Amino acid sequence: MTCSSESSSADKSVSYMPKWLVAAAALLVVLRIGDVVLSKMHAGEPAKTKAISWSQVPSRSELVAEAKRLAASPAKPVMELSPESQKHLQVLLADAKAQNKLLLLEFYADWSDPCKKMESTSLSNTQVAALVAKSFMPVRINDTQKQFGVNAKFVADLQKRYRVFAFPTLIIVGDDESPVASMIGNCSSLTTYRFLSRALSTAVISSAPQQVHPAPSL
Amino acid sequence: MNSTIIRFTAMSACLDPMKLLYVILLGFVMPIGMKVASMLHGASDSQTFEMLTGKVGVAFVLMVLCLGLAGNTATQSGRGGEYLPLIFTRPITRCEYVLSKWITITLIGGGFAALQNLVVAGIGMHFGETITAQAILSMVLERFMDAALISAAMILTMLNRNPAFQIVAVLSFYIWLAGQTIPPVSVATGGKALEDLSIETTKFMLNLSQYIADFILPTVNVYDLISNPVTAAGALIAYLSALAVYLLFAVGVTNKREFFYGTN
Repeated sequence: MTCSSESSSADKSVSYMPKWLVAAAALLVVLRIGDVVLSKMHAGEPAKTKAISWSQVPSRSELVAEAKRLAASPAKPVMELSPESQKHLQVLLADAKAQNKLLLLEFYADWSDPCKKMESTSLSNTQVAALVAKSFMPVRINDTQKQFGVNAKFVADLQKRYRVFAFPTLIIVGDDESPVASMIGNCSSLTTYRFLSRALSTAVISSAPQQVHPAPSL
Repeated sequence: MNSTIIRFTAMSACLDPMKLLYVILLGFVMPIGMKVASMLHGASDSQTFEMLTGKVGVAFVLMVLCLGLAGNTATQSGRGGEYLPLIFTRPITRCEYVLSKWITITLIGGGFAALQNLVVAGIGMHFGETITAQAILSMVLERFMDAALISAAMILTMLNRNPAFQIVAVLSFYIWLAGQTIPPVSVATGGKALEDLSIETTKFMLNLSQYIADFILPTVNVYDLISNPVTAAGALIAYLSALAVYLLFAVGVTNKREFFYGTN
């Protein structure tokens, strides 16, 4: 009894380290270090190809000029769209409607790393880009608060109207200027695709007479 | 692989009513309710929903499934007795033990999470949401990949008896988890000291969480990997290297373990 008890309670396991695991771990760690070094070297470079062609509102030159002008004589903040901004937005909405598409606003900031990251990942995904090209009119609203201390009036008005406080923020605007859906932050491409397709179906349901290109189905 | 360890692990995970109740509540009841509510009211999916149906959801499920499965009761001499010394009285390799545990936990955790994603996608499609087969395949694959990495990290943490390692690992996990509550964003500060401090603190936490995520729990976006393999190659290398290192260290620390087999 004592003998069998002793023999059954001894460590019979074998210490064994598979060579393939050691080799794989070493190789992958070296590759990872190489990848980190390469990405550090290329950090800050803009994406070579842009999957989505954003309309820049306002344009770069207009933005800089207006921001400087406003910095000299700062306007009081408004809670809703001013008549000029509302007219501007109506033009964008009419453009989108003429193309049978939904207006997609991206509130973007040059200094924001998440914005740049989203540009090079989620918004460069072929499926996301295809869906945007087919069903949305993408307009990028450039924030200059950090660079110039002030935003262009239209940008400031839109940010107040849609309660934008973080970048990037995607907002899909309905015909009545109300936000159909919004997404804050650099989300994954799958989340972005789901957000867009979801907003599309919501917009189609809520405005039945309007024909919007559906997202590709199964 | 050892079929007995696989079977024992699967039974421990799937036949414990408390664990199953937790998995059903957090993994299915809550996200399904959130999905139905948002679809009914035409609202966007919340960040909480994204968390519960993504990597965080997998981590929540695995946290419970891993309890008592990876030898933690043996290492900590807690409830349940000394399982690990008992297992090693059998003529098995310790590597076999670690890998069998890891495979089983990955398949069970990934299976639960993938099933949850399929159910949620089905609900969305029922309400008119469009989603491609490629997107569904990506979700399922991503959940299994998440489960593989998180379970390897958890097994390593449980098998390694070094308290400093365990403290750092658990702390890193908590910071990572905190950072998942909001997606990466930039917020312009308002110029007032107290508000700015609050925003900067949150940004610091988010950045820290992001660094930890990149370093210890790198994410592979399978949807990007399928659409554009070249751009996602770096993320895949980071993922695979972390996985290989965790398994290597888990086998290494188990190999070095010594057990006392004397009688009381």
